[in-house]
Amino acid sequence: MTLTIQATTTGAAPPGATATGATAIGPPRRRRLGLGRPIPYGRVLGPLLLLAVWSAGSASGALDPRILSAPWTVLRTAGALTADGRLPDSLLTSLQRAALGFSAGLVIGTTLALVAGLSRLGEAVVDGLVQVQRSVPVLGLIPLMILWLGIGEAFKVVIIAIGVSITMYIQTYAALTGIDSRYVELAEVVGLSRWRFVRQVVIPGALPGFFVGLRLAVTGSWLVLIVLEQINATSGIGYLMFQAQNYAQTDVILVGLVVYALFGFGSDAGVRLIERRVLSWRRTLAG
Amino acid sequence: MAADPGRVSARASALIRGFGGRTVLDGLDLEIPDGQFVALLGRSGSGKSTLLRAFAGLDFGVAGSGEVAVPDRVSVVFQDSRLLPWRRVLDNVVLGLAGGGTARLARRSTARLGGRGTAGRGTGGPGGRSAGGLTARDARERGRAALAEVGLAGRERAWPAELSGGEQQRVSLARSLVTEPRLLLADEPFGALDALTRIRMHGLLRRLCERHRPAVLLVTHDVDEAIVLADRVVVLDAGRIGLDLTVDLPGRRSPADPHYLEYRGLLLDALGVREPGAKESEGVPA
Ligand SMILES: Nc1ncnc2c1ncn2[C@@H]1O[C@H](COP(=O)(O)OP(=O)(O)OP(=O)(O)O)[C@@H](O)[C@H]1O
Ligand SMILES: [Mg+2]
Repeated sequence: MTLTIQATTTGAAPPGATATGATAIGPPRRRRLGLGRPIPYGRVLGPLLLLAVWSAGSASGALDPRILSAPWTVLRTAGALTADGRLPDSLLTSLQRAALGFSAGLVIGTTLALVAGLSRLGEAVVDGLVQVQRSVPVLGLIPLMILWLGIGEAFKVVIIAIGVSITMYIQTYAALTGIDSRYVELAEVVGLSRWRFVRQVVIPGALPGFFVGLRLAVTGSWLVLIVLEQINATSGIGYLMFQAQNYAQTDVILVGLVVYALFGFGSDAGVRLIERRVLSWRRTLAG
Repeated sequence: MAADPGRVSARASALIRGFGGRTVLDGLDLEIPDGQFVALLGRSGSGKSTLLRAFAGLDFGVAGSGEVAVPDRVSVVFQDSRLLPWRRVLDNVVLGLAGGGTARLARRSTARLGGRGTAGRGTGGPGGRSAGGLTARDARERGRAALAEVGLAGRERAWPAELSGGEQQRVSLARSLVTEPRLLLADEPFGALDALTRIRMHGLLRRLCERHRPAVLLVTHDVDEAIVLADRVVVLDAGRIGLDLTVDLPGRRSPADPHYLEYRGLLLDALGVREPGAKESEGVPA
C-alpha cells in the first residue's frame, strides 16, 4: 500500500495569491463579550465626576447654598465639627451601633442557617419561624421594640441585628440547601463521613451564597441605622443631621451624608476584599 | 497483588429497576470476575447508567428488587470530572482517603486520624501497608503518586478550573485509583473529550488497569472504545444482558485486524445498527 501525501511548504505562496492581495488576511475579527481589563482605580471615576459638577455648580452660583452647600463649605464644616468633638463622638456612637448589631445578626443568622440547612429537624423548626418573621418588614418592629426595650441603644442594636440575621439566614440557608446534587453523589461515592461531607463539600460550596448575604446585610444594616438614628435617637450621625435639618444647615446634613457614604463604601469594599481572598478558586467574568 | 480471576468481584442477580411503572432493568444477571475489564454497551435509554448506579449504590429510592454484591473498595468515574472547584488538584485526589483533609487540616489531625484510617481497611495497599493506619502525609504521598501516574506531576496545587477538560478527567481518574479499588465503575468517562484526547485516555486507562488490576465496568456508547479496551463486552437489551462477548484479541488491538471487524459487526448487530456497506471495507488491506 502506498500513500501519496501532498505537502505544501509553508514558505511558498500558494498559486493564485498575488502580492496585490486578492485574499487579504488579517487578525481574526472578534468582539470580546466578557468585560475587558478593569480600569485602574476606575471606581472613583464616577464620584470624582459628581464632585466636579457639584463644585462647578457652587462656584458659578447656579446652586443656591441654602439648597446645597458648596463642597468647600462642607469641608470647613466637617473641620469645625471635628474640632469641637461632635463629629467624632457621633461617628463613634453610630459605628458602635452598626458594629454591634451587625456582628450579633451575622452570628445569629449564620448559626440559624447552619442549623436549618444541615439537619431536617432544624429545618422544620427554624425555617418556618424565619419565613413568618421574614414577612414582617424589620422597620415595622420599631414600635414594639421601643415598647419592650425603651429608646436606648439596645433597641437600635436589636433592630439592626434582626435585619442582618434575616438576610444572612435567607442567603446562607439557600446556599447550603442548594448544593449541587452531583457533589453530594461524589461524596457518597468516595465514602466521606457526614462531618467531612459538611466540612469539605457543603460549607465551601455555600460560601459564595454566604458572601452574597454578607454584602446585602452590610448595605441593609446601614439603611436601618440611618432610619433609626433620624427618628429615634439623641446621638449619632443621624441625630446630628436631624438637628441640622431644624436649623436648615445643609452643610451639616451633607457632612452626615458623606460620612454615611464612606461607611457604606468602606464596608462594602472590605467585604469584597475578603470575598476575593476566600473565593480565590473562582474565576468569574469580573476577573 | 495479583487479581484472582476465579473469584467474582461484583455480581448483580435478578436485578429489577424501574421508573414510574416502566421497567428498565428486567431480571438482569451479571457477574464480573476479579480483574476483568467489562464494557457495557446499549442503546440510549436502555438502562446502562441505571445498572451502573445500582452497582455504585447510588439508586436510593429507585423501585426494584434483586441483589447486588460489590467488593469493599469501589470507585466511580463520572462523565464529568466532578472535581470540587474549591479544592486544589491534590486535595481533590485524596478526597476519599482517610487522611485526605485539606493541607492545613490534614497536618493538624495527623495523630487523630492515624489510628482509624478507613481507606486502609482493605488488605495490603501498594506499599504493602498493613490494614488500618493512613496518616495525612501518607495520603498526600499516595495522591502525589496517583497524579504522577496520570501524567500530572507538578500540578498538585492548581485549581481545577485551571486545567483542560482532559486534564480534569485525568485527575478524576487519579482520584478513583488512589483508593486501590477492587471495582472501578465508569459511566462514559471519555464522552466529553475530543477524539485525540480520548485515544490517549484509552492508552492511559489500559496501562492503569494493567497495573492496578481492578475489575472494571465501563459504560460506553462507542463500540470501538469497547473493543479496544475491554476483555469482555456485554450489550444491554430489553432490560437484560443480550450479548455477552469475550474479546480475544492479542496485543495492541487494531481496527485493521479482521477479527476486530468481526467483533465490531457482531456488536453493531446486537445494537441494531446496520453499517453502510462502504464502511465495511474501510482500512482492510486490499
Ligand atoms: N431518575 C430517573 N427518573 C425517571 N426516569 C429515569 C431516571 N433515570 C433514568 N430514567 C429512565 O430510565 C431509562 C434508562 O435510563 P439510563 O440513564 O439508565 O439509560 P442509559 O442507557 O444510560 O442511556 P444513555 O446511553 O443515553 O446514557 C430511561 O428511559 C430514562 O428515562
Ligand atoms: Mg447513561
